[in-house]
Amino acid sequence: MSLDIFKEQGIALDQQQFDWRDLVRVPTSKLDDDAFTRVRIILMNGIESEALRFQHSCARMNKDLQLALARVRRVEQHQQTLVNWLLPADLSPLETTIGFEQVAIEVTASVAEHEPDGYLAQVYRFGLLEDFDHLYRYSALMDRLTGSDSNNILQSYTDILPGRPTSVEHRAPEDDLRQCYDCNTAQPITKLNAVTLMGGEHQTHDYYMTIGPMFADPMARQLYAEIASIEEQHVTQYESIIDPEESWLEKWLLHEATEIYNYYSCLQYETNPRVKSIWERFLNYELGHLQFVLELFRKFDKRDPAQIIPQSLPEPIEYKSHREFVRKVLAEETDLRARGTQFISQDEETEGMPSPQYRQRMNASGSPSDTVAAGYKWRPGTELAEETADITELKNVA
Amino acid sequence: MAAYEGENPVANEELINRTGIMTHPQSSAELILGAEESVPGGDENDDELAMQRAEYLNEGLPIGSNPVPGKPPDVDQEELAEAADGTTVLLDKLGERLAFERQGTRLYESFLEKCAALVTEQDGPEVDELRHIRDEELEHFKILQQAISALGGDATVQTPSADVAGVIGHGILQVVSDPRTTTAQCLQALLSAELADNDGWDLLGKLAAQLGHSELEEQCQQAFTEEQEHLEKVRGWLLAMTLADAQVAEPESSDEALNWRQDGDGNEPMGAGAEVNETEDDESEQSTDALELLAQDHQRVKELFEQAEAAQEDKEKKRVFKEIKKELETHTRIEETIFYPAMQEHEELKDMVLESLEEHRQVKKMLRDMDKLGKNSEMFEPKLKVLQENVEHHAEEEEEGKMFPKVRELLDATELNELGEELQSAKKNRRSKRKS
Repeated sequence: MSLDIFKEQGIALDQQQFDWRDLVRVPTSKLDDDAFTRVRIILMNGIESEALRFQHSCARMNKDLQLALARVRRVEQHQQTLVNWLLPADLSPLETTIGFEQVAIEVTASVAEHEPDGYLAQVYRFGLLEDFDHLYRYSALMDRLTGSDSNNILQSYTDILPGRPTSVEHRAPEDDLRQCYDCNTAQPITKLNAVTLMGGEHQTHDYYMTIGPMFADPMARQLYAEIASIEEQHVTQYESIIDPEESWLEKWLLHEATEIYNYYSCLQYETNPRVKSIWERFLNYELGHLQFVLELFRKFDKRDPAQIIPQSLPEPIEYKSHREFVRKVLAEETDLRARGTQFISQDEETEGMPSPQYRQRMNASGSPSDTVAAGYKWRPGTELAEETADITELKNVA
Repeated sequence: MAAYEGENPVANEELINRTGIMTHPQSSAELILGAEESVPGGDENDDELAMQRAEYLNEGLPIGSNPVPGKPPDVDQEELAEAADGTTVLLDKLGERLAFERQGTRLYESFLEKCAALVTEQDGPEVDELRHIRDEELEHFKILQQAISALGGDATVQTPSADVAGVIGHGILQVVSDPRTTTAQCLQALLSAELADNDGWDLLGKLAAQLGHSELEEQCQQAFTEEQEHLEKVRGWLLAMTLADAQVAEPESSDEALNWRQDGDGNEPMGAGAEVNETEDDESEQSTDALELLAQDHQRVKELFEQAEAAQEDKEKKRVFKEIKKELETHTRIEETIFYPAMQEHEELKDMVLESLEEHRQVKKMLRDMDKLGKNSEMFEPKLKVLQENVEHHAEEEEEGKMFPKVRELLDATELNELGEELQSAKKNRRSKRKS
């Protein structure tokens, strides 16, 4: 990649300005925009939300950095607003949920495919199959509760199939922790991947926790409670792969680099010109943030930042269907379970282990994800639909 | 053992609605006085709010667009291009009904589960009846799938109107799927759905008729008739349950309380019909003005409906219905054979005539349906009521809507009298035929 993030100045922090009208645009179209435009909006909302979360934690531990953090954070807040407000009001909470799971599947698949560290790639594939199953469960709920087709949102990019059953994803906390990368030896892309997925999953968790109670149907409320709990496990998992030996400023630098990398990736693929100009503007804002943090890093950490972040950006995240990759993982790794920081096969798991015991306790009065999707098989136009002639023809072409 | 062992029964708690100002009088008094003393900023008459919203409006970005329909297998490409606009609108509205019926199927399933789980409530719906409605909703959905497909459309598309229908339906679903709502509260939600659904089919049928899709028009007609039954049932259950909640005995349908809108002081919705009628009756001896003759027909039927409504005994009701039927058959016949053809010669009236014809078709279908009813069918009264509403609507449309006034502009007195004579003699012929 040609973008030299040390040299590119972007837009200086004090030039980064908004007003309310600028923050609140006419949103994107649920019907007309490409599903990946929505995927990018949902992910970037998560990335910005992670920026705020990290910077708050950092401020609580570093008196000297509080003002600098507050200045950058104010901009991140408004970036997140502008991005998140691109979602339209006719996108229901359940439809947005389908969008979140599509993000989790397609972005995690791209990350897993490009991750150079074999163990971490395995961690990502492990999480991928779980989110894949969530999509299937939510699709069943949507079909059976509201009578609508989740593929109107997914636009055929992503399969609607069972993965590792959500009901067996419940694990004891000790089985959710993973080994972390070594901040001194890990490749830059490894660090960017980890921060990206941690941010995405954290926002997914927070979103489900916010909208779960908005459903009237008690089984919908149960399903959100169940899947939100898995998302909490995923945050635990992704958080644990990041080296805790990194200094606060090192982490801040990495966060800014991750934001640059993500806006840059969005920019490469965006098809909606109105949204594309936003990615471009915010890429420049993030380059400005990086310059600002580089100064602080040199001042406080007195190290060469080139040891931490890449000079040029790695291959962008691929915003495309990963059907083949996902199906391969599905065929080979659905039966994996976690034991400590390692993965074992389903057969190696015995009843006395902490995770099976925890799982049994949580599923004691039934499994919402099993119940809502019992016997569910997606069909074009929902399971109530009959196959019309054009669909038959379509299948024959394939 | 299950983790959930049930919550304490609410009987121990005090159930108080705390939303009103009188719940905490002292605190409320302070609140009110505080607000009264406050000085708000800004000018409430300023139109800034509207201007801000207008800015977004002016960006002109829609919720979404309609897909370009594919080419149906056996349609000429040129014809297709000509019909493109109409087909696009039709597909959009078909997509809307499809989304609505599919959601309706799920709505009734949810309601069914609730009614089945609850101890049967008096006056509430029977599970079998609900299942019947659910099945018809599903059937309508499948008809629409095929109809869209036959037009070269993709039945899986979420059209803009379908999307809007989903947003509208969201609240209805929230009410029905909430375990805390009562059967009556669910029925209130379902009533909103059924009212919209009835009009949705009506509109779709009219659109199909205008665009010359006669098979689709008939399917709409059939679905509309079934949806009318759903509406009447939901209405009936809601009324019965509300009255039962209020501890009022369920009245006979002829009970005055149920006809409160026509009560006493002459404020009935149709206006001072009786007086107008008298003058018209007087004049009817001399005048053969076609429009007046037709208006008299309308008035006559209206009175008969009132008689039927007031009748205490079923037998009497049925007798009056027979008269209504006879009147309507003659009236529609002479309008269709003499009056409408004359009107169709005028370009400005063509659309109105088509609409009237459609209304006739519905009325006749209802008459046939009512003939088919069993002797003691509980559907007789609801259907009679719907028939009355339809006929009155038709009469109003013609007389007070655009048609009759427009006819008066286009035809002079002599022409109207000649037409009137034709109508009268056709009527006489028909009567003598009936007698023989």
